[in-house]
Amino acid sequence: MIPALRSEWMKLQRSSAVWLVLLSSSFVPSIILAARLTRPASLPSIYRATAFWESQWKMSWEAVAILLLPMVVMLVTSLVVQLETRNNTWKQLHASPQRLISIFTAKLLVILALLAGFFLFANLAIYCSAMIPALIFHDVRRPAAPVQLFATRSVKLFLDGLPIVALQYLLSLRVKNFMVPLGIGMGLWLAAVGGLSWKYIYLIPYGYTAMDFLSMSGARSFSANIRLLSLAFFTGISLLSAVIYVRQDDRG
Amino acid sequence: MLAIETKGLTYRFGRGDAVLREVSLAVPQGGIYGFLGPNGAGKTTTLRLLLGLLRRQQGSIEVFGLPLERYRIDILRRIGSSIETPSLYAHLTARENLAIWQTVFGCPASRIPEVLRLTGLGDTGKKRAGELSLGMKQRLSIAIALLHEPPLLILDEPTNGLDPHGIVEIRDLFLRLNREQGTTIVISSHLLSEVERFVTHAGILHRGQLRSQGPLCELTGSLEEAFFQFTKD
Repeated sequence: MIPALRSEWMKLQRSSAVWLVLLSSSFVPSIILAARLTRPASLPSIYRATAFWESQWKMSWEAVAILLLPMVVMLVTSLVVQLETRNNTWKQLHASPQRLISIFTAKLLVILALLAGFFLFANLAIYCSAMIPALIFHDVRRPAAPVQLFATRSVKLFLDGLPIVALQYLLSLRVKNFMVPLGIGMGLWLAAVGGLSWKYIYLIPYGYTAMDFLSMSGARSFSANIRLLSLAFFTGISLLSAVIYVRQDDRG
Repeated sequence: MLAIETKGLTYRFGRGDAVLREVSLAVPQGGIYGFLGPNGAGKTTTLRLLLGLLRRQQGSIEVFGLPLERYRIDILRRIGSSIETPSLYAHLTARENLAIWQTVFGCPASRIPEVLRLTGLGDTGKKRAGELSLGMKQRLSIAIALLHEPPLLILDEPTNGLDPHGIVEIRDLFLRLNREQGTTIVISSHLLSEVERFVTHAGILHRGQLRSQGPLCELTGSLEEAFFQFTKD
């Protein structure tokens, strides 16, 4: 299992998936930083607020949790699988002395590591976007690092994204065309975001990051235990996906 | 002793006609086996079955005397392969591509410069695999197959895209591996005159059936004559 994981990690060097994680995680914080640097007069009052980090978090994660995060998860998952499809390397991989389940698991772990990397870089970027104006302008208070707030909420959103990973992974392994899993994912995401008021919305896990963000920011409440459902969807779809992968007749 | 033995291997894609019919290959250990046949004869399908890339439907496959399905990992550890077009990570250099497979096979890192030298790729430097010519890609594909010093090589059209110098170099490399290390080589190719120069055994496949098989020295005429004789409809 370790060689499989190491080799999968090595394939990511200079890959689009890594660039996507790096650029997308810093996208919103960069815009916020640019906006603050161009309007320094309003900063002292913003930074004096007692719930500064709470509003910083909401502002930074609103578009990310609802729109960007599901897109990043879909794209990263597809790109990791496409590394093999596009390079015609499935046959070489499957003719190597590795258990099929090891290959499947190693790829899934690499996708999850990239997703974790997204959260890590996003939090760092959000922190920097808040701290840089405080370092530049002397009349702006320097707030303490919100480690616990960011960590707990990031873990929650990470868990919310797991069903999307599982379903996109299943689709990407089955369908060679890059656009098909993305199209299906986009359709499900649109259905989820458009149907947030529907009482059975929890059946579409593509909306979990948006639902959890709205819950955490106090805008909406949902009766279902989203994270429990998320873990159940992830486990179920991943197991199904693993069985289909190991039992496939044509391996390249 | 046979390196590869199949009995009654039959395969069909979906509900279509069988693309392989009762193929019984016998590849002797230490031999160079030329696997020949016109386009669509079923050569690549056979090689994919030998590597476990297709699930066996009928018949049996034994490699080094072991059933493939039961000992898949042990068998694949002893096989180097290259099937159809080169399988390379285009965004990585030749050395980085080899490092991936070196990790998978668990062979020493010193093998990487060795196989690069053997296949004439020592000076590719930071060039990414996607920027290499088809011939260079083919060489890199062969380098990957040789990386873990396997006792059995299964190569599908390995000289595709190579210039005449490259073909001679690779042929000499295969001969050297066969003589010095006893490597068994199964090679499919359309270049009959080229194959005839170095194979010890040949199998001729036509329309999914193995029409002829045996040592080259037992052929009455040339390999080309035998090929056309056995692939007549």
